[in-house]
Formats: sequence, C-alpha cells, structure tokens
Amino acid sequence: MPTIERTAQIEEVPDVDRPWVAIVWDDPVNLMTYVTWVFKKLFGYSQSKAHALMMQVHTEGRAAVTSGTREQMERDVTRLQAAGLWATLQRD
Amino acid sequence: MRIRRGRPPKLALEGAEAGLMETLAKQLIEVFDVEDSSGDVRDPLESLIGPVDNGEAATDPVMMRLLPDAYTDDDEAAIEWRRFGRSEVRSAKLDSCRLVLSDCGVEGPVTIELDDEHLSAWLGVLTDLRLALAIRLDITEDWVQDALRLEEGDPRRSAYEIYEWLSITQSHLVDVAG
Repeated sequence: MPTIERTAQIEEVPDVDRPWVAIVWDDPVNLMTYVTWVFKKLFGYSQSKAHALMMQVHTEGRAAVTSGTREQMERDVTRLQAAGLWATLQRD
Repeated sequence: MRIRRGRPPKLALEGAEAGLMETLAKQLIEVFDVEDSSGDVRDPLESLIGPVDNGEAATDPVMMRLLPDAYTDDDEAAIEWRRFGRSEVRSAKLDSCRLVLSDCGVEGPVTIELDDEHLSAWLGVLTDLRLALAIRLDITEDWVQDALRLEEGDPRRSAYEIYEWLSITQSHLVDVAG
C-alpha cells in the first residue's frame, strides 16, 4: 500500500486581478449619512454593507472600500474624491 | 428651505437662499477653475480637455482637502495623478458647481427638481462648501459650542450660520436621497 505524503506545499498565489484597494479616510466634517449614501450610490452596496464601511472609516480612521486593478481603483478614487470624500489608493 | 420627498425629490429655496447658493457656487468655481498657483497662462486646449494640471502638490489646506493626493507613498505616481486624475476630479466638481449655479441663477425663490444628476451635484457641492468653510473656520466636531462663544459682532458668526444652513440642507437631502 502506498503511503500518502502527509504534508503538502501550499503555494501562495497572489490575486493578480485585485491587488489594489481604494481607501477612504475619516474626516470630522462629512456627514455619516452622506458617506453611507456615496458608498451605495457609487458601488451599488446594500445599506448594511455601506453603513458598516462608513462605521469602519469613522471608528478606525480608514477603510478599504473597493478593490481591483490599479486603473479601476484610480477611477473609483476619482469618483470618491469628486463626491468630496478623502480617498487614496494603494497596493493591497 | 423646504424639501419634498418624491421621484424626483424637490428642493424649494427662498430668494435669499438661492442667492447664497449662487454666490457660493461661483466662489467654488473660482477655486477649481484656476490654472494653478504659479499663475501660468491657461492652456488653450483646456476648453477641449478640461483644466490642465501642473502636477505640483497643493499647498493651500482647502485645496489639499478638496483635491487630495491619491497616492501617499509613491512620489512618481502622485505627480502622475496630479496631472491626470486630479484634473478629472476637478472637472467633475466644476460640472457639479455649474449645475447648481444653473439651478439657482434666477431671481426670487426657486423649486429645483432633483433627479439623480442634480441630487449628486447638489450633495457634492454642499460637501465641498462645508469642507472649505470648516477648514477656514477651523471647525471640529464640537463646532456648535465654538460658534456660541463668538461675540455678537464677530464676522465669523455669519460664516458659522452659513455652515449650519449647508449642513442642515445636506442632511435633509441625503435623507430624501435614500
């Protein structure tokens, strides 16, 4: 009976399609309800997902709100900034 | 200011309120429509492709907040962003300002139908005006207490009143936006 190799080598494959994230930063001015509305409007998120992300921005100071290619994230950051949110992008 | 729910929601402004928004939208257009801080002559291509950006970092705190750098840890990417991405943001903000201006640019009270495009434009402009005023007034989350402490004749009082009006209007508009 052949013995089965009990260990396997797990290879980390980077997710090449989604390596960038758009970050929204907290500020003391923007209304919480508005930030939630922007997340729903721009990304089609549900009320609960948008609210959770807004709360993460509010309590942790920042949240990654979308991910994708660098070009996609530049487009999302453009839209977020156009709406008045403080947004940046970076490699995940 | 009165807001009526519905599809689309409607925003009714008194003459003085519409006049205020007209003035503020014009001021915001001046902020976004400048060539750059060095005073270079405007590029003739601008009317075709939008404002041209010189790639320099903003130094004015209001500009740093309204048109922030998109890259915080990559200088080369930041410069590239300022040239292209920031120009796009600037153009989008200018479009919103002009839409609001066209909604308010008549004498007397106005009633504005806020379809998706108008609603987004109004919320964006109200946001930028609040951000700009907040930076100029050094507003924090406890701004109401600061405003109450000002003397009767302090010129900042009217700015606080405007800030309050913008905040209330925005809050109600978000409410009907759903």
